[in-house]
Amino acid sequence: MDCSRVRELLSGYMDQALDLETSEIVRKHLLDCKLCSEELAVLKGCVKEILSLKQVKAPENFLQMVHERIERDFEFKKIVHKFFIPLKVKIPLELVGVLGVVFLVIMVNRAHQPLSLRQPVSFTPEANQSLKGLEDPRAAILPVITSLNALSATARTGESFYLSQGAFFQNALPVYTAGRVIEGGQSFELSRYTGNEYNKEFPKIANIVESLGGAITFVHLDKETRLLESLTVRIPSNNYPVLLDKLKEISLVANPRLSVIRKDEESTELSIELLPSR
Amino acid sequence: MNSQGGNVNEEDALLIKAFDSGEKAAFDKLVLKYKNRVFNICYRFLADYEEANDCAQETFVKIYRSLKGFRFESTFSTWLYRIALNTCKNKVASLESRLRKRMVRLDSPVGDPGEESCTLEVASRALSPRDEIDRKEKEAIIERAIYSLPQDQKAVIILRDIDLLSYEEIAKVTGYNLGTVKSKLARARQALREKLGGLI
Repeated sequence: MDCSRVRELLSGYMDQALDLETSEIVRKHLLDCKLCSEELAVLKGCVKEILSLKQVKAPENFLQMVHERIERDFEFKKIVHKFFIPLKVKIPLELVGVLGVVFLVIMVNRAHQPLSLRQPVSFTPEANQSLKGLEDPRAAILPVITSLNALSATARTGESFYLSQGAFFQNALPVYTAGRVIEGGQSFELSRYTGNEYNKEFPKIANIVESLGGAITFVHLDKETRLLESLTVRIPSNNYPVLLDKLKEISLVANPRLSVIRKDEESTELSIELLPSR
Repeated sequence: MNSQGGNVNEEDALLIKAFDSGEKAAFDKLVLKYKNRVFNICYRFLADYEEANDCAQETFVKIYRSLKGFRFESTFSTWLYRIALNTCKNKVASLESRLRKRMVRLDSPVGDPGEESCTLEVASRALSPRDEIDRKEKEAIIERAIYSLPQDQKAVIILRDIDLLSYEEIAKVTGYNLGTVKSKLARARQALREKLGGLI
């Protein structure tokens, strides 16, 4: 037997795992072969080194950790069972639920989309002026545009509209909007009012002004809160007394704070303050 | 497993039957009895304490799940070691890329210059000049040398030279036949001899 074959057998030889005959052949070879004997010694040394490795012990709280893991495993299975078993019933139900949620999310998301991209909006110079000072004037009107989309299909030039949008809230206050169609549903003159109870009456005020042949020429928003503070209205002078009477019919504006800005024979321009005095 | 033979198996069988009849504490006794051996096997296989802890726990969780179905076709310890090794192998497979990144390759860090070049993979933190190698570092080198073996050889050498199982027991745990156990063990020892020759 040559050295390379003997070396292959050294591992079994040192464990006495060879059959008697082979073991004897190896033993005799080792008596005559110094290199193979040295090899056996090195191999035994290796095994001795491995044996000398200290036993690495489990942590003291090992059993507790196993229990916690089993518990977690059990809880997980319970949850899986709760949500998915029986599959035939729960999966379709969950699917319906998920679809419902997705639908809701899409609807809510659509409602809050920056609609300026969808709907061109133009402002009269006065309206622009009144919105000046806001960081982003468009931001003040964004929630309104959703409803304008629906409106644009039927709107006619010159038609006035009033939107009372309970769906949109800012600072937890209701939002009201009024406007005027300028170019056949393509663009709108509009104002948005976010605010207190007084703002609720804005559509009525605007309606009165319109019916008396006047127009709202200026809206003043508070720069910080963006709440409507006052309106500037232009109205034929002969209708001014009627305007005052009509305004009194509106409960919340029973004592409107009015101030005449300009008055001549033809028209009267006045400011109507809608917020309570601060 | 190898040292006390039948009594051990009998004791394990009683605990398993007790567990089967609802005595949960029997499982705890099995864990307490085998935790260190299983942990040591896992540690030698993975060369990482936390990973070994995770694997050893996972092994006993698996045992817990399937203990009721244990058919006594092998001894409990054989079954336990088989599960531990398989869990380690799966762990290595999932961590292989991560562990590889932590390794640096060194050529002949401890071998004599004249000897055949041997390659040893050690953790970068285990680097040390030859003269400064103390016992702890020596252990680290042996650990890494074992860790660097192919999985089948590693399993066999851990069971034989660390856990002192007989060839027959190793065959039962690993599912190899006796001849394969012998040859894999011989190859593993030869590989270690090449890696650790300079230490001896």
